[in-house]
Amino acid sequence: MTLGAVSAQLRAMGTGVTIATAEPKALAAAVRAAEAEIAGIDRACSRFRGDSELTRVNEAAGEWVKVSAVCLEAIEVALRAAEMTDGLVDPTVGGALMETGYTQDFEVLPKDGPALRLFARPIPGWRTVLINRKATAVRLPPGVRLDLGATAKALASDRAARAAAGSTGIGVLVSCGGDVAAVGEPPTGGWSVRVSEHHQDPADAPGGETILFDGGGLATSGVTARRWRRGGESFHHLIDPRTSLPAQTPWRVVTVIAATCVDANIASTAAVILGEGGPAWLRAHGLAARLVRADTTVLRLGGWPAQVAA
Amino acid sequence: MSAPREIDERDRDRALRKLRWLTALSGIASLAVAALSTSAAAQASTPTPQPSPTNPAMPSPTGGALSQAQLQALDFALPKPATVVIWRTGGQGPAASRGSTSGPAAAPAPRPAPPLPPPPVATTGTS
Repeated sequence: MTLGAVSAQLRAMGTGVTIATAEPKALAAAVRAAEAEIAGIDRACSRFRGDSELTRVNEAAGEWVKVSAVCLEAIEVALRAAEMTDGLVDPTVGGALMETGYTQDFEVLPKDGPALRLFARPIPGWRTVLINRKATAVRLPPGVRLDLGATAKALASDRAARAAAGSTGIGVLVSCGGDVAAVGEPPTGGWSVRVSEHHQDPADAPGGETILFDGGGLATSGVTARRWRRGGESFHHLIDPRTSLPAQTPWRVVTVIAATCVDANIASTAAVILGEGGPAWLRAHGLAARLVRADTTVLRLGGWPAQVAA
Repeated sequence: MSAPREIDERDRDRALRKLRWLTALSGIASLAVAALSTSAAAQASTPTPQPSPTNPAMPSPTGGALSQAQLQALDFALPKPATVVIWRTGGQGPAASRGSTSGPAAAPAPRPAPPLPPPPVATTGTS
């Protein structure tokens, strides 16, 4: 059982954030430490904030842009995701997302609109991004835009959980929009986490399950949230880098457990984009995963933990 | 030679009479034992079968002698001192008896109720 765990909810990065500690006395300090980390990632990595470093990098494509250490880390994490997945999870999908209509924060994005003319073509690719670590600077080719959506929230969770656990000495769990990271000693029995289609689903939502996990990362990617229509056609935010179009996939959502939340999110996104090849890819990497098909049948892989509640 | 023959006949007659008495006494004793056994059996079996109006052929319990086979069928033996007899609930008979390895399986011991799942502290899902 998750004994003694307490949690707080707040809003950041345009999504719901949960911070939980294994002991109640540590919660206030953990929230302060986690909030600072999450705010730092949001300032650095938001594609929709005019004052973010990422916006500056995207708008200055073709030139070197000096960035903070946090922003540089976030971009390097995204490039590492592309390298790990042979380009399946690639940050240079920013332009493709704009073309499909995802041009602003999803909360204010018009959910319907006129038809779009789209052309299937490969995205520019992560190898076109240049990094100067010594100068903490980044350069994109002209016309290329980065989107760190596949990794930034997960990175925020990892960094926030690490900072909060480090400052309190108590086990901490942080969830940024359903990207969960847990660092330090878990509560007795482990962290109780609901696995659902959307991170704001109620605990009794059908199709979900509750599991216990000891720590690391737990992330879900899918195509049922963040959908919009243009000209009567439905779009979602997971771009297939081979076509620059929303991925055609049999999976509604894929949830993965990994050593860190970033790795879990990279793997879950890759599995969705790979489609029918997703389970084999996850097995090859020895990852525990739960995949939900379009018909809502569930496939569990690689030692996925037993559910403690339906 | 005649005197011994007469003595033999008298002796035989006396022996026969004695045998008849002994047989009668033995019969009376057997009847008494049988009557006592029947009473004990009737007390041990509850409820006592009653003649059914729908089954008039059913014999009514009456006093009388039981045959040797019927007496042997009445096993009043107690369990051996070292034997632990565990009765299944619902009166279905012994679950384990006298070291036997076969027979009805023992009912599983009641398991403690599983603890209520803790409320989740977070939800993973798409955002």
